[in-house]
Amino acid sequence: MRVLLIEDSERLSGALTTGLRQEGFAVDAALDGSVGLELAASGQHDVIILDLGLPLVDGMSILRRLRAAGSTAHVLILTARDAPGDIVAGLDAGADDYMTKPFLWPELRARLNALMRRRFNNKQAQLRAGDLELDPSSRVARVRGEVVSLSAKETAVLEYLLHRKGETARHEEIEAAIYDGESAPESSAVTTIVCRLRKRLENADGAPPVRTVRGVGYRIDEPA
Amino acid sequence: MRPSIIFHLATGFVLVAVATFVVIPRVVHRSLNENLLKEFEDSILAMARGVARLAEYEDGHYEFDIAGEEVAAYGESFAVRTAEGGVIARWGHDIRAPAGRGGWTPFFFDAPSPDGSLRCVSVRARPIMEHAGKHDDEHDEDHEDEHDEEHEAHQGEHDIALAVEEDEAILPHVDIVLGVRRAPVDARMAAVADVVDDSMLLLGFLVLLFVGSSVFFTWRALRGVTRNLETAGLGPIDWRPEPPRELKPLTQALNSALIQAGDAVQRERDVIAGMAHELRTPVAEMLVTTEVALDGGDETAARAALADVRAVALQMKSTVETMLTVARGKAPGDASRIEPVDLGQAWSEVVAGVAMQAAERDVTLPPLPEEHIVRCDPAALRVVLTTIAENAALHAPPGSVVDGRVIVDDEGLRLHIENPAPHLEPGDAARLTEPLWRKDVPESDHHGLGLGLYLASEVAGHAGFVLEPALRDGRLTIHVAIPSARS
Repeated sequence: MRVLLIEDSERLSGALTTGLRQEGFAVDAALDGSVGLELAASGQHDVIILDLGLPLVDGMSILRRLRAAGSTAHVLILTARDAPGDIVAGLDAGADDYMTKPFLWPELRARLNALMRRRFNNKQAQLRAGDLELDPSSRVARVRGEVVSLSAKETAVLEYLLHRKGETARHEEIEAAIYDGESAPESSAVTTIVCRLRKRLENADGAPPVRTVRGVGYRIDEPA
Repeated sequence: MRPSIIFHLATGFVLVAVATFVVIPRVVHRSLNENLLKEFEDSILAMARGVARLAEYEDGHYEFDIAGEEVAAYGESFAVRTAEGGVIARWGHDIRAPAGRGGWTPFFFDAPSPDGSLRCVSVRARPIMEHAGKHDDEHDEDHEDEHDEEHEAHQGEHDIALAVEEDEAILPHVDIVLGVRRAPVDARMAAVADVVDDSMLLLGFLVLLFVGSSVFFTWRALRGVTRNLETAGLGPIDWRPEPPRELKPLTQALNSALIQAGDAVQRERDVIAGMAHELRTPVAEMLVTTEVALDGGDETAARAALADVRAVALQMKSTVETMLTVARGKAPGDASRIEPVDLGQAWSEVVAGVAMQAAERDVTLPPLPEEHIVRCDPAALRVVLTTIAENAALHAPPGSVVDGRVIVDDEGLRLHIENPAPHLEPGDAARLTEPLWRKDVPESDHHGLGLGLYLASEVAGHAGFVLEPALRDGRLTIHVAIPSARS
């Protein structure tokens, strides 16, 4: 899952970026509104965490421009402005959620997971396919109750494939979802991660297979 | 109770007393007399068979139309005139003289004055036919005899018979009988006095009622204000008491004070909101940094996080010190913190504090050229100077030199800190001290929160300084007027 963080406090941005990457998110960070708008316009992000008081271009302008351009990314406003008028204006302008500073890290994480579920029309807190289940909050995968040990990238790929269960995810989509701008993945990186994930799941009895759609990408289906 | 209320009550009481004991009795008395006079006149006119009009003139005479002719009353005399003005009949004690001559009978009214003292005596006359201007003694004698008989016969009655004459002609008898029956004047005045006495009793009661009601309504209004004041302590600051009519000036003053208090509270709210805003982001930084470090379990990352938290804590310490300075500055009349301060030394210490930031951007902050002693709160001065120096160090273009000057005159001491500010537009100078207003500077990597100069101006205002930004030819000058030690 790829997150764009537009926050002008360098210290807060750094801490959030570190934390989100630990959670398996691919994170792009912008310290002002101009860079943030440019990154957001790329359309590669599932969720945008947006501060309102930004240099150069303010957060509300970014949000309005994105929505005017047809962006479907989910936007979570993260700001010190807590007046009801500000909250209403932010949500009316197209934000999907609104958090005020100071905030608790677990709450931000939970809200991000909720936005991810909404992005993929998934109402369940646990992602499931057959006997395989993944808890996006704890980042723990289980098959028939047994924990399957996965790396952060493997978990990210599995999460993305489970979100899009029954669909074929293209190579570039998976790559965009799990790598941010600071990472420079090799062209075979996704293939390598999927191979490792497939092996780990095959070792766990009852897990659905990660299928290869030749020349396109990968998919996980609900077992018949 | 306000003096104006006592004055109003006293004035009202005097007015009511004057009305009760002087004006109203006179009015009643006059009204009764006028009624008697009017009744008398109506009787005359009714008996004169032909009343058409009554006119009253300011000089006190009355004119009556009687069958196309006029009866005029001049003080105590009456006359009947033709429409053209000729006198055709007269009576009154001013025409006593003709009595006994030409058949005139000395009818008179004893002072039918319009303003009271109506003393109408009964008079009777019989019709007389006389040749005007020609007095026939025989004829007169006959008439005198007749008159005497009639007069005696009707003594005690109140009739008047008029003779009518016209120049060069004897007119037929005009049967004008003024029949008036009146009680003796003294009896009538006694009746008037009784009525006045009754009126006095009634008016006395009305006075008591008025005074009592005034006291009651004043007490009720004061009680209402008292309750409103008690409620005000519990209610919202924008609450306004309903002004009782009697105490409107008092409540207007109270409302004005409440408005001023509301404005002051709003300013406090703005400052607190600004401070809270200033603290929100650092608190969020500390929370996220520590929680992420705890989640990560990496000791190196944890140590780095601790360093970040320390930096944030130092930033918050500075903010809290500013808040304390603002709070202390709001306590009025406390002169204990005022002391002589060397402005040059204070500026040097502040410049040393921002030297690293200035050096990173190659901004030069020179010391002030001379020693200048001012009298002020040193903490407030430090906050103001630090804000100005930090703004210059962080927002002036890289490589620029900040100019510091001090001007001393009779009004005190004025500090001018000037630096290039090409990013500011003419309209921005007035907004620099607005809370949360900030101008983003592309070449500056420090964006701030837009509270610095606002808080500095607040501190300056409470410390007795005047802080004014001015923009001219692309250069920003912060003027700070400070009382000098001499003043």
